[in-house]
Amino acid sequence: MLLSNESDENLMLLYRDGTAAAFEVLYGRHKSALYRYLLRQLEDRGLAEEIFQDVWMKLIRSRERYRVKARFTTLLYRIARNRVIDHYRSRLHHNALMNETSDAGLKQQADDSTPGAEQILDTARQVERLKVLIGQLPHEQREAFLLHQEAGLSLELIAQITDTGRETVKSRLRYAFAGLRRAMSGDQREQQRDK
Amino acid sequence: MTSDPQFNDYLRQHSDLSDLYRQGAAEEPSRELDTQILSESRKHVVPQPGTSSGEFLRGVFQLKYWPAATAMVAVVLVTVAVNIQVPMPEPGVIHNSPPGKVQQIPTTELPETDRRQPTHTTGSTLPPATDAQALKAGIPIVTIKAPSGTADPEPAEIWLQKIEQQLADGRQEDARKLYYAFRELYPGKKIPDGLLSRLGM
Repeated sequence: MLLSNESDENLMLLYRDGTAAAFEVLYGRHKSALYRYLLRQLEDRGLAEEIFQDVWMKLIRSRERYRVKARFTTLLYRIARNRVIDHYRSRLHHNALMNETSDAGLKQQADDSTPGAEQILDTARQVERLKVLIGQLPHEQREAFLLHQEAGLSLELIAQITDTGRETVKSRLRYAFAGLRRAMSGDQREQQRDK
Repeated sequence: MTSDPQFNDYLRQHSDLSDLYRQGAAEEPSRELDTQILSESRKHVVPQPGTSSGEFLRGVFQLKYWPAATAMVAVVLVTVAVNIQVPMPEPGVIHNSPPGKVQQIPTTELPETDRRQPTHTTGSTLPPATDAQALKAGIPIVTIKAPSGTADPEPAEIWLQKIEQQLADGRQEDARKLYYAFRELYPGKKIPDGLLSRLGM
């Protein structure tokens, strides 16, 4: 049996039944996207690594109870999301983040930290800038954006993971893209004005 | 992309942002983290030769492997029955002696044909049909053990190799679990010297 051809759910079933190698394939498939999802959500490498480890440990320890009820990615990101929320709750920041639905602050922060013209010309710096802007997105928009971009999840799966409706996910994604676009365009206008 | 064509158009309009994001999305968890997680994932998972123990036992209960399980039970029962009824022959011992009285003869006295063409080459306890005919004809039959190294390795040896491998990898707990399972399958099977102490038993 070639494990790399197996679905995520089958791999998890095989791991549950004692095939250690199945977990390695599963881990290899999802580790990068999950890690970056956590890194962007938490903006702290140490914390992201801690929660990343917790998520996989939870899967490992609960493997004997695993049943295929939904897609594996839904389960994985649901665990990750819950851990992120737990973290914010423990820091008493959760409410502030969840109430942040406007992207007005994003534009303001982008304007405040506009990089110089020579920096904007550099693609690598644009990428870094985009990462900063993603970090400044309201929590729900950032979450939808990362689940879509990093995990490659459909609107339906994002809705399942975030306990919300499909249309709400669409609207969060629209706000996220619009906010990022505005902030990035603002940077470019600043650059042209400097010229 | 999604199943919503309008929304797909919207995403396409912003594909430059997605591309830009992907260019920078290169962070990976550290190797140390990978090692820790993968090492944890291997704990308490006992590999079985051929199939996993959990899978096999679950399969037996679900009757998935019932022919194999039935065959195994049958082999065990036949072996036990034969061991009770027929005394184990030693190499160089004639089978066709009266029950309870075995006659030891020097190998040099064996008929030439018997030494060149043994009817069976392993320590089997059940003579094949040709042996039965020979017994009837009064021809002495000699059980000759296969020379070491020529026979296929027994499953028991594979088990022992697995146990040794677990010990070599520093997974004593897993090695012990394998040993218990091995003992169930091969009661009385000789194990290498010092294995028990290395298993911490």
